[in-house]
Amino acid sequence: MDTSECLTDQQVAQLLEGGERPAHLDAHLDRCEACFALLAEAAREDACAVEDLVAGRYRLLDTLGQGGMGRVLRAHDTVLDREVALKILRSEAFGAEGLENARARLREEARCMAGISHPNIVHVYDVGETDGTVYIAMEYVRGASVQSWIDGDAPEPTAVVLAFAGAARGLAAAHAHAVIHRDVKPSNMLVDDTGSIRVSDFGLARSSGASDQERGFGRSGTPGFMAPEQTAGDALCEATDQYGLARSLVAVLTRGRSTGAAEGLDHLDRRVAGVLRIALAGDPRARHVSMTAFAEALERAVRPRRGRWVAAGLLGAGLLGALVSAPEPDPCATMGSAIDEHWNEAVARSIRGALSQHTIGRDPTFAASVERTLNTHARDWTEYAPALCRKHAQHPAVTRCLHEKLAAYAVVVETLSAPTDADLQAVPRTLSTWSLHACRDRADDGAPPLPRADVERLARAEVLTDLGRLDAATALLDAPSSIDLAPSVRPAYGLRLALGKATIAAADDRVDDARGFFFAALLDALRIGSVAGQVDARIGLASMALRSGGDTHSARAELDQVTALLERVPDEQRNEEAALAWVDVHELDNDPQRALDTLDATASNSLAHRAARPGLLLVLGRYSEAVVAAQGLTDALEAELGPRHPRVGDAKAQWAAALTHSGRFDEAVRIAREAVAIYDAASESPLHGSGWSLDVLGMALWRRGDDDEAKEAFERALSILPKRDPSYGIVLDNLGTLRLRAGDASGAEQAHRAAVETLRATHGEDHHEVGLAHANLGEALYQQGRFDEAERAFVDGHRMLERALGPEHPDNASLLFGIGKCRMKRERFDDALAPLHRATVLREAVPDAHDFLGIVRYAEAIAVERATGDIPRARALVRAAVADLEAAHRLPDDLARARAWLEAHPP
Amino acid sequence: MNTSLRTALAHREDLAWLDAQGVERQLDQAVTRWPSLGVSHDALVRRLVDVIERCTPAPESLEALRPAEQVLVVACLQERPGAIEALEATAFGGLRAVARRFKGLMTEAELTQRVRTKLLVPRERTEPQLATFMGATSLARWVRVVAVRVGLDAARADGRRGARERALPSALPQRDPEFYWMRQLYTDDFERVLGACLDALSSRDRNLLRAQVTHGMTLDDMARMWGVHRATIARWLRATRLELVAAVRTGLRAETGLSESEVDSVIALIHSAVSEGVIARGLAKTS
Repeated sequence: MDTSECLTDQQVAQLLEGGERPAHLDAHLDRCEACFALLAEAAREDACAVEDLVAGRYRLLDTLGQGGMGRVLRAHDTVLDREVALKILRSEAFGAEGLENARARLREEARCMAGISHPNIVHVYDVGETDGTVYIAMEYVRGASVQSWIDGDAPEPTAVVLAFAGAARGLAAAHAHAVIHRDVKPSNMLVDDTGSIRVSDFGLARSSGASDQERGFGRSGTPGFMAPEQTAGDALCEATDQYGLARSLVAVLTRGRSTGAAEGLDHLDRRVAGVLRIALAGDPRARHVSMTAFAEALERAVRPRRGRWVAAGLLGAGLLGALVSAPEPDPCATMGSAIDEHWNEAVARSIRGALSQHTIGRDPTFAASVERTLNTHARDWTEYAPALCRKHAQHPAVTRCLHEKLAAYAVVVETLSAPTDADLQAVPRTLSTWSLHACRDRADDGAPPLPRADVERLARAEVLTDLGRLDAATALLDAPSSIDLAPSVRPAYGLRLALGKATIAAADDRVDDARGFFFAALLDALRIGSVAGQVDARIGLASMALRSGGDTHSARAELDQVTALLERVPDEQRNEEAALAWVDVHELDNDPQRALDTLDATASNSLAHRAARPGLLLVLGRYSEAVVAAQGLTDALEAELGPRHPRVGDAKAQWAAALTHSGRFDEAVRIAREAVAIYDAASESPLHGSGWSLDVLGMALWRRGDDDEAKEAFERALSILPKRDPSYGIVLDNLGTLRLRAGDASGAEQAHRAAVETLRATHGEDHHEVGLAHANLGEALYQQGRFDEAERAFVDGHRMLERALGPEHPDNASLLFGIGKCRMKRERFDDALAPLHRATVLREAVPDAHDFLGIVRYAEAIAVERATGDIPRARALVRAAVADLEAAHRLPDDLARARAWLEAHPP
Repeated sequence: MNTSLRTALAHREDLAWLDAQGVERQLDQAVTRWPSLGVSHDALVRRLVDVIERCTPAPESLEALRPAEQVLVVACLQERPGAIEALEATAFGGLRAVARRFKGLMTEAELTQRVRTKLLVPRERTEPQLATFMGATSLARWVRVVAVRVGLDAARADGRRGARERALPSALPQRDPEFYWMRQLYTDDFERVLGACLDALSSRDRNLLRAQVTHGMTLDDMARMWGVHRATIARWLRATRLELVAAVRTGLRAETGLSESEVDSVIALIHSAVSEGVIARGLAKTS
């Protein structure tokens, strides 16, 4: 091939069938992105594709791992609203016989696991088959596998041995159900947040007492962890798993440096080595009598005795070593009870009394939710804080983070003892971001530790900022440091201080100040090598860039850096913050699809995350999904805040809007009325949300055919919304469209002209909303037979829309269609051709837009017929229009007209 | 009396297989594969003559033209009742998987409709694309490639795909920690050196990096694309990355020669998105 010649579809198909590669193909691909993308996309294995929604219930989020039989994916169970790990068998990967065998294995795995309930075994929730895909839904364990301990992230040896004792107890539970795992190895054991091991992957598990061959599954297991009887193909028993577990423990304690069964034991503590030597006996009868006995022996071996070394032998080798029971007092021991000072029955009583003084606080759901959350956090603290403190004893950043969390908790409790109305609106969000997981993620942060008093002061200021008490927060930040800070610690203090001040400035709408502080924070973070600090500062800079004139370019630059940082040092909470910032970027860039993709990729279930979804789905025209998302959000908010909270009203208004778009007008009217009622009751003076929910109600009523009531709702919305509110012009525009339907084209014209003026004032001259209002104005003029004026309105609107959203945006199509039809009315068919063809091309890019596309295509066909007389071309267009209109299942009159045209013009 | 393919192509002496026995019987069999479509023997002969005249190099056998699938093509081009349904039943099976890849951009029904339009509707006085089916691969695989192109065109029109696939020089540092830090430290020099080193790679090596880094392809997908085993792809990639890292390091040393102690001050300069005025104000407020 010539290097400048592009690949045809035929050539691509031939290449993928293993056909001869043309000369200079790589040279051409190197310079031609279009051909490269075509070949790359066509080469992707579509057999790997699994429906995003498995069994109508599990929404796939990302891949956790991949093996010969299939894949393990993280998924969201949309019925029970929880994360699950979904093991999926790919039927395409097997022949008919192999597939049946693999299915049998997967079902047996599910059966084996489902019978066992033990904290050290991963739970199975569901098993099934859908569209040829067999799946198991199991508990999703957040964390890495034991293999990561071998790769260098192991806790101290005593903790490792105790964790393995737990795994042994889990396997003992399996043995009690006559199930042998047969493939115990580090990669099949997961480590959860608390450092406990959860045994997983019972893919090879079978009932005891038979060899692999006898059961017809062939010999299987993993070399290096297989017991001698397994290698020999003899009958298996419980002791087979003991061998695999012991080999795994040796691998962890020696960081994978042992290659044989006995090798490495000499370097371990004598007592631990003794227990392992028995478990690794060649004859299964010579091993510990049961898995429970093995677990107990391991626990006894590391039971602390003053001044003993567990892994003394390894110290010299430089592999690992730790003092099991140091004589110094354990600083983590008292950490668990530190919360008692802030949360106890007396405090709870006082908060209950304080809440009852406020409208929102009197709501029993709200009060119960706040108390429940405080209880849960306190319990989490008691259970996990000491464990985290011990596990990351070598990371001062973790301990410091724990002190911060305790201080933050204390501030919330103090605030709730004497809250304002605004506090009660803000507290749920503050509480929802409180999590000890964040501290675990800090382990790798490079920032040096600050004095505890300063840490607590800064944390209190953060919470006060979050609660909107900016003056109090500023006062705390301005207070001098508790001690004279050492030079090495100053940047770390500066970082926190700058971040605190930046957040206050941002909350106070002082965007320039906030940018300055965030940038200062970034410099300090770079100086001390704090990844978390860099991420916070860069997310802040990105948000400020978006707020100052929608500068998505700068925001993208910052967020790209954040993405790279978070890939290096994962941090769930910051990941979500970054994702939400990306969502804003994409929304401002008028790319709702990417915004939604980004949102979904975070797989978070937080309220902030869920609140952003319905609106995006609506913009994308995915109405039924928007209904489900908005309804779910409403339920979650009601459960969290009670049914009378304004945020519930906001969610209901979104729900009603989605219902309206889905054509479920009765339900939409009911839910919109509920939203309006919530706002009406929440405050004596009308809230902004009230105006918006009235607009939604008006739309629902209008679509249902209750034009009078709709008009009333729109008019009431207009009386509540201030004229400078961005929604005001949109409501006016809706009112105009309502009048047009009532046959009052001149009244409609008046409303649309007012809408154009208002939207110009609130959104700026060239905003797309102004362009769209021109489209409606054009329609009102067209209906009055004022085609020249209508064409001018359409042309103006198109110019604005093109400038605001770019020439490729599909909304341009309705204006181009308007221009075309005005010209056709004036019998300027030649002039009508170009806009109509462009409208067709633009609408072809919009999913599910068959109705409009059909009409535009039909109009283009008529213009072609009249302007050029090219009947075959017109015929092809009308045929396509008929297919579109048939797919739309609406507009029977238009469909009949197009069909009649075809009959009148046979091929 | 039916026209024979040999007669219609009497001038093509290079096509010796036309003289073999059974050619006409094969054509009849192809026609009877879809009896309800009513395509005549002569119509198929006309179609095959058209295809053969367009083929370079000349086809080596009748099978290479897939006569049965050409019957479908004739039926569709003649707008015969049931033809489109037969075409879809035969060749549209792969569209579901393609639609999944362009999810959010269009539904499966939308993609199907666009492929239908592209294959069957003539555009700007050119013949419908179905007429260009030469039979070199199965109709189903060819339609799948057509669908992928439709998807890519839509993505490009939508402006999304282009934005997602960043240029190789900016995507590499995101993926490779070593490049990432080199870029943090040597911003401008790094971009220039990396660009030069990428230019120095062979086309194939650059394509491999692009496939993996900016298109996120798996080794298996890449193996299909290059028609080699996945292990070969892995070996090629490893060699390319090693070559590139070494070249960039050498290039940077030659370009900058910064000492360790200078690194801190370089770090302070890497952030260029905020103006110096803002920097100064920010620092003044924190001091």
